[in-house]
Amino acid sequence: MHTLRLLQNEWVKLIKKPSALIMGVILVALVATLGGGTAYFTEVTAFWEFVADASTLYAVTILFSIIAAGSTVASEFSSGTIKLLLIRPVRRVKILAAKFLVVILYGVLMLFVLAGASLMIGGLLFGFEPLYINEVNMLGDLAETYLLYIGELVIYAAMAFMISTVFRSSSLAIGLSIFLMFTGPQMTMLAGRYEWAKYILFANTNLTQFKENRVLFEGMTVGFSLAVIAAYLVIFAVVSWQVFQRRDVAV
Amino acid sequence: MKTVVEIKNVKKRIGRKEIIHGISTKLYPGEVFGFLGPNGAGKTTMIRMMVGLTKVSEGQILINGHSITTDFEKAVRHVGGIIENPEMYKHLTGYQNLRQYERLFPEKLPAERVDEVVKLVGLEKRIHEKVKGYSLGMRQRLGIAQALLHKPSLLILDEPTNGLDPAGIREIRQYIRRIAKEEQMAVFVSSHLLSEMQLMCDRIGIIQNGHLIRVEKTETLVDSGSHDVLLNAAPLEKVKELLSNRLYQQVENGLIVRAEKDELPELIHHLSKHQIDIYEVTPMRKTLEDSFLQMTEEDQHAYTQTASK
Ligand SMILES: Nc1ncnc2c1ncn2[C@@H]1O[C@H](COP(=O)(O)OP(=O)(O)OP(=O)(O)O)[C@@H](O)[C@H]1O
Ligand SMILES: [Mg+2]
Repeated sequence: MHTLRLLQNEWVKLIKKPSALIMGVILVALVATLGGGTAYFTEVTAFWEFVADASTLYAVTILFSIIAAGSTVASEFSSGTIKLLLIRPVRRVKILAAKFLVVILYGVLMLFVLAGASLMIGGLLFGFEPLYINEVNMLGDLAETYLLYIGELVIYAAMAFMISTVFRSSSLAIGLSIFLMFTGPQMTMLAGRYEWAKYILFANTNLTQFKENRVLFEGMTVGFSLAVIAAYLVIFAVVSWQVFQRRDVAV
Repeated sequence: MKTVVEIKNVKKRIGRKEIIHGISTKLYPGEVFGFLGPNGAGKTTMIRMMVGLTKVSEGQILINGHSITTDFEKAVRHVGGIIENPEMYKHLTGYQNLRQYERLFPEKLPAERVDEVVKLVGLEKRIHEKVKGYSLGMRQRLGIAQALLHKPSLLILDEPTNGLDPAGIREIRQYIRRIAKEEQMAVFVSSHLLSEMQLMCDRIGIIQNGHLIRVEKTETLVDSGSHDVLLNAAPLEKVKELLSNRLYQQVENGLIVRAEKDELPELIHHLSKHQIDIYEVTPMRKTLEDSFLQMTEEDQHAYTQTASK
């Protein structure tokens, strides 16, 4: 059960950072602002409609996950603590895996904060509505959407994690990942006339395209996108692992 | 005797540059081994290899018989250390930091072990404060605490007294000596503070430009320098005449004469036979510092000579 202890270590280090709490607060504040704005500017808004609107703030949780993923390895190097971390009877790959898992856990927690805040604030501002609308379980539908968000979150976090492990620079990892997150999908559009464009990572990251039935490329399916994401994930993981495993620590 | 560490012809290359040129030595239980060398000699590089932070380019390092390269987990299992500065997680308390290191080992420690090491290094009062607010000396103590947490059989300390005040230095020094003997732990401690090493170590290895140029018992190293005596005698001119077959140097309060200890009685007889008034004969006990500087200078000299050929 040593793995659990390693996870606990990483969790403590992450969650005790002041930024971890601040990010949660920012998220709630954003939902509240959105709620206030909606209540002020629109005549009638339905509860579930607001909850769905607020879920688009998930981009912010991805941003926060990128920040956490981009600094978890790099900050050990910049603070020098990597030396005390790697002279223990633990294989480096285990430490790396614990770090990545905890970042994902943190991202998922942020998604929960977002969902919780939008349900609460939505209910307070617009009044709760029944669980079933037109025989659709709205909460289940919401959960499905959030599950698709997790997929997107994992791949962006993995990207930041890899850049951070390879270059040991959190600013580079965070900056580059955020840049790609915003420009990647656009660049994919530009390549849209080529057949291979659908193999570009960013053509597949937005998994809700299948739920909303507006796929980027003809004939793409959830299965296809998940496979592409998984392939990239494997590449990111292997690169991070190999680089971390072989690195001479001289800080 | 059982060896704790065996270093066999270890070399380190970074790029094309060779930084460590084939070092071999052994460490035994209960001994404090000093690794002494000027800045840039390769002390930290050697230590980094011993704990597996950097790869050994050639040769082998065995800790309790396990190779650090091929059997990393078993080899580091019984190693505790500080490499250069004791960097800690600043946003955590001293206690939380120690818990981090505790959890990095597969087996759980008895709950009171953390408190025990905290007490050993005298940090009880501040241990629940964030490390951010610690002084360098307190961080150094916390570093030693984490190194001792698992009762290692090899303790590696890279300049452990860096940043401590004189009282702190003495305390840590005595402490290191004590636990080395009590727990039969081998201690590998690096420093360029020579006076420090003289008081703390049983044996000293001198490293210079990546070569281990000498390994000696501390006494031997200290004594080996003591072949000068300060001679205060009159009349001076006659003394100089009588000593013309020896090396000497005139100083304010007499002459410094090169003479081995067992030559002294004869020298004194000789002088008194010629009606010299002898006021003082004092062996100039060289400190380790002197012998160290002398040795590294000689080495440097040899080095530049070969280089210029
Ligand atoms: N990553 C590196 N790349 C290139 N050269 C290096 C690297 N690390 C160390 N060196 C060189 O290796 C030599 C030994 O360095 P090391 O840090 O081991 O010295 P040291 O004995 O610990 O010195 P100090 O007393 O200053 O701590 C130095 O000349 C240094 O410049
Ligand atoms: Mg050093």
